[in-house]
Amino acid sequence: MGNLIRFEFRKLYQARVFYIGAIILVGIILLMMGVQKLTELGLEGAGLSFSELDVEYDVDSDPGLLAGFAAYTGSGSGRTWLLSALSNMYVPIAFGVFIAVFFCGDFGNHTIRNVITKGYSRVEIFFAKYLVCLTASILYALLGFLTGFGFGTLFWKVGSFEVWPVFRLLAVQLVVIAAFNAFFCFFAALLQKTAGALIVAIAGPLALSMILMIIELIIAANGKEVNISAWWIGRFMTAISYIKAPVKDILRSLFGSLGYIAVFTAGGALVSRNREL
Amino acid sequence: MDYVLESSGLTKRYGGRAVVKDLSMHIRRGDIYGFIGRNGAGKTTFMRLILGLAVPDAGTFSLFGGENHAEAGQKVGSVIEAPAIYAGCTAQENLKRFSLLSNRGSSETLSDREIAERLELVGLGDVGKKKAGHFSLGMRQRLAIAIAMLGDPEFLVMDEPVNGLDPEGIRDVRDTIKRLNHEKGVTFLISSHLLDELSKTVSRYGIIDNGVLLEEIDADELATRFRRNVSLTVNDPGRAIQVFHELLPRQEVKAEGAVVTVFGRETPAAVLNRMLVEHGVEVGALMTQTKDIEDYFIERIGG
Repeated sequence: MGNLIRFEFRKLYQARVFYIGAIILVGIILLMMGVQKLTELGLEGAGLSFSELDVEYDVDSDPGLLAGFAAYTGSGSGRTWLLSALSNMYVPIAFGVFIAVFFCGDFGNHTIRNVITKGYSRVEIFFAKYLVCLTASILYALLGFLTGFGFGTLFWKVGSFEVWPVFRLLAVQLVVIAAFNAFFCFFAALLQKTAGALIVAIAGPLALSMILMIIELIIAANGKEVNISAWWIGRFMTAISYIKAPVKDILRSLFGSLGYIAVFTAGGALVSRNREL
Repeated sequence: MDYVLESSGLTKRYGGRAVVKDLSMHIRRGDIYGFIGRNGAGKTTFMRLILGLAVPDAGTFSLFGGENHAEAGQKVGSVIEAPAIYAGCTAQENLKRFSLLSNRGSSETLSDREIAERLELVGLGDVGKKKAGHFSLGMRQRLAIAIAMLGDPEFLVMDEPVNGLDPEGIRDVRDTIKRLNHEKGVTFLISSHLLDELSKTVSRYGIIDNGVLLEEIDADELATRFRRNVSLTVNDPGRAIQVFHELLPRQEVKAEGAVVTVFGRETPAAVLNRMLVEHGVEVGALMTQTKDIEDYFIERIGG
C-alpha cells in the first residue's frame, strides 16, 4: 500500500486544484478580515466607535459572533483570528470542493482501472485517497491558522497569548477538520462522480445545517427544546473558535468529531467494497 | 499444463440478464489468445471480471495458478475499453505515476532514460512536453499500451488494442506483441474486431457469442480448417480416393457421399480434374473453396 500512497501524494502535489483550493481558502479568510477592517475604518472615518454606539462586546466570550467583529471593539488580534480563521461557513466548502475533485478524479477519467488491475483492493484505494485528502485538509487548516494569525497581527495586534488554551483549541479544530474530511470522503466514495461530490460539498453543509434547525423548530413548536444542530460538524468549529470556549463545548466538538470520523470512515470503506468500476 | 488464466463457470449478470454465461477459458503460458465475438457478446465483461473491475455472480478464475489478486495483479497489464490516462499530464508523467503502482518492491519511479525507452517502444518518442489530453486517439492508445507494459507484466489483457490506430500504428502494435511474446514469453489475451489483423498474431482463439464461449481452438488447427480445398462430385468416390492417394500421397483427401474433397493449395483444380478423368473417373462438378477466420467466425456464431 506504500506505493499506492506515494502515487496519491505524487498526484496531490502536482494537482492544480490543491493550490487553487489553498488560494480560495486564504482568499475567504482575507475577505472576512478585509470586510471587518474596512467597516472599522469606515466607522472611524465617520467619527464613530463601538463605545459611542453603546455596544458591549467581548470577543473572548461570545460564541455567536465571528471574531472579526472584534475589530469594532478594538479587540481584534492575531490570536482571535488564529482561532476563528476556520469558523466561517464557507471554509468547509473549500475543503469539500478540493476533496470532491481530487478523490473522484480517478473515477471520472477511468485511471482507477489502472490501479485496480495492479491488484490494489478498493478499500486500500479508499484509504490511500482518504489519507492524502486528510493531509491536504490539515495543510489547509495550518495555512488558515497562519493566514489568520499573520494578517490578524498585521491588521490589528498580536493579542494576549496563553499557549496551552490556544494550542488545545487548535488541536480540537484539527480533529474537526478531520471529521469534515471523513464526511466529504464518504460522499466522494459513495458517488464516485466529481459533479455529485461537488454538489454535496457546496450544498451539503448548508442544507444539513438548515435541516437540523428546521427539525429543532418543529420540535420546539411541540413544546420541547432540543439542540441537535449543535451536533453538526460546522457548529463544532464555531463553538471552539474563541479563547473562552466552555470545556463542555470543547469536549462535544472533540468527541462529536471523533464520532463523525469513525462513522464516515467506516462507511466510506464499506461503500467502496466490491464496487463495479 | 501451465495456465496463466483458467476460468471455470464464470457468470456475470446485469439487470437479470447474463452477459457472461458459465464461461470456462484456458490460456496457456506463452499464448497469444485472440478473443473474438460480436459487439455485446461479453468479451469486455469477461476481461473486466478477470481484471477485478467487476465481480462475478458465479464461477471462479485463477491467474498464474491461483495466486491471489494482489500478487497476480503485479504480473498483469491491461488496456481495457478507452485509454485510461491523465489528460492533464505529459506522457512522461503518466508513465512515472503508474510506474509507482507497477513496482511494489521499490518506491522509485522509472528514470527519465527508462521512460524515454518505453515511449520510443510505442512510437511516442517525440511527443516532448505535450499534454496527453492533446494527443490523438491513436497516441492515447499507444500511451495506454506503454502504461500496460510497465512492470514488465507476464500477462497482458488488451481490449481492442489497435482501435483508432493508423496502419503504421497497427503494425507497430502487432510487432510489439510478437516481440514481447517471442523474446520475453509474455502471454496475451486480445479482443479485436479486426479478425484479419488478429490472425497475424494469434496462436489460439476463443469464440464467444451471447456470453457463451463456443469454442477454443489453436490457430494451427484453425489454419487446417481454413485451407483452400477442392470438392469434386464424382461417379466413383472409392476409385477417386485411390487415385489421389497414389498420385498425391502428401495431400489430405476425404470423401463424403459422392463428394471427394482434396485439401491444400498444392495441386490446381484443373490438374485434379485431369487426374480423375485420365483414370476413368467422371467428374460431375468441381468447386474450389477458401475459408478465412471471418468465414469461420460467422459460421460458428450462426451469422
